[in-house]
Amino acid sequence: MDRTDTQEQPAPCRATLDGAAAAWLGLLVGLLPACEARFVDLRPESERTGSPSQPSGMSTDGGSTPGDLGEGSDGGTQPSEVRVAIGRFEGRAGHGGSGGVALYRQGSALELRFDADFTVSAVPGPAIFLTSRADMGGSIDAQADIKLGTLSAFNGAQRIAVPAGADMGRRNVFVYCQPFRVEVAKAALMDVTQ
Amino acid sequence: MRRRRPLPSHRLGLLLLVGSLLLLVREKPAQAGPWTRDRGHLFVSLAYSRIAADRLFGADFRIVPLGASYEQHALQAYAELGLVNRFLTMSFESQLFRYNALLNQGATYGLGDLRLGFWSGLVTAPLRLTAAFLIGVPSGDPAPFASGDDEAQLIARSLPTGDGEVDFEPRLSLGYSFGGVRRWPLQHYMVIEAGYWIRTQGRSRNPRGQFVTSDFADAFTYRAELGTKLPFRVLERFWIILRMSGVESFASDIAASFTCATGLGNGVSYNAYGFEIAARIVRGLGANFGLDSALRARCVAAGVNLKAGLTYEF
Repeated sequence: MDRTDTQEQPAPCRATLDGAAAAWLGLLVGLLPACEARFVDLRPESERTGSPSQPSGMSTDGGSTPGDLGEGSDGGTQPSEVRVAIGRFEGRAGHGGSGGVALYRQGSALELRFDADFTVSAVPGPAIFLTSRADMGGSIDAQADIKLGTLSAFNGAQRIAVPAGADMGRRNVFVYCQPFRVEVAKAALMDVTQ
Repeated sequence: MRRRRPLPSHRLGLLLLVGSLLLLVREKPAQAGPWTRDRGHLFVSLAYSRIAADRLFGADFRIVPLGASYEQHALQAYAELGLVNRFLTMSFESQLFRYNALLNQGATYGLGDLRLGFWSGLVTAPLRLTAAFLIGVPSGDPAPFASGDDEAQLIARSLPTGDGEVDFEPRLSLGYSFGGVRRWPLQHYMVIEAGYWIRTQGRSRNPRGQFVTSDFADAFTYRAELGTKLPFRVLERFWIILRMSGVESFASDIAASFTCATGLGNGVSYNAYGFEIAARIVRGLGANFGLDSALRARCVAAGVNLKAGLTYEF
């Protein structure tokens, strides 16, 4: 089971050692420098979008984002809210993935909601894509694939805004390790008959 | 044409037995591992290695094509120092510099993890049996940070330089050298090692950028190595080494995590073959060149690991 620290900023790796072990190994090695790795951005200038932000439109249930529609999928729904499609995640390429997901519409706003039973293998760069393709494979198709944002957690209820019109013809949701271009989990959405 | 009569089976068996015994009694000095160093004797090595891959061994051991190109360059130091004759040799292994790159996306670089080892000879004749205890120190960065946009952070996080965990490994190492006799002039050494890698908790960042710790599953490790030296002028300076080595993690496919192609994280497994040529240049100075490639693996890059290095011992 994963445990979360409150610390968000990079820290020297010595902090990863506990108490006596840290002291003992620190003494033994003596010369360990702070070991934060440096990052070099190799993307073309045109692909960079500026400063860091919260994952776009993404929130765990109970949180709030500009695209928030209000109630989570486990709670009650507002009268004008319509559940458009539902699906269940399955792991891909040997990764684990399970749990429900649903697409909601309220007026012109769309939102994808992951159920409380959602869980997926922990990968370093988990992005969420809505696509018309049955398989993403190792490429991102700018026409077919819409990136909705990044996961906010590897399990539990969460929601993410879907740009207007992005759902047209797109009924496959992928959790995708974007840096390495590997599928992690997929849910095929089925339209809900009203 | 007169055919030679085949040897009777009992005579053939006797010859094989005598030959084997001759090989057994003729022990030659060999290198590293189970051969502990005498007090004050030192062996150091500095090696460069490179892996480039556009495929990886996925969480289910199958090869998955990447839509990206991954490269890893590392400068690795290794040293053995004899502290007490036979009973205590200390080893130090560290990635002094590790550079991971996803082409056209991003790269991270910095210090990698290090490993300390304590080796003690249990048996010295007719073969060598040495017990070792290794300690992994997380000097690398398990979750590099990028100050750029969200995508830059995903890229950085995917390219750790360490696994973020303290780990331990008791290991047994068996060594034997033979050959160099009239009937078998080739000289050989053989090493067989097995260990139990006790893994603890690794650190990484969750999608929100917070540090998380997660339990890593233990693993079984092994290495089998055969070195051969030809008894000819100049060529006798070279060891030709064939190797099989591996790590078999007890993590389930589902639990394998925070790994991708970097070979760091929970569930990393591999069975790899290797080929190496080690040459003695002058006195204690040597050089080596080799390659390793995995036959079966999980969560590592599916590419050939090329390495070249310099060694010195006294």
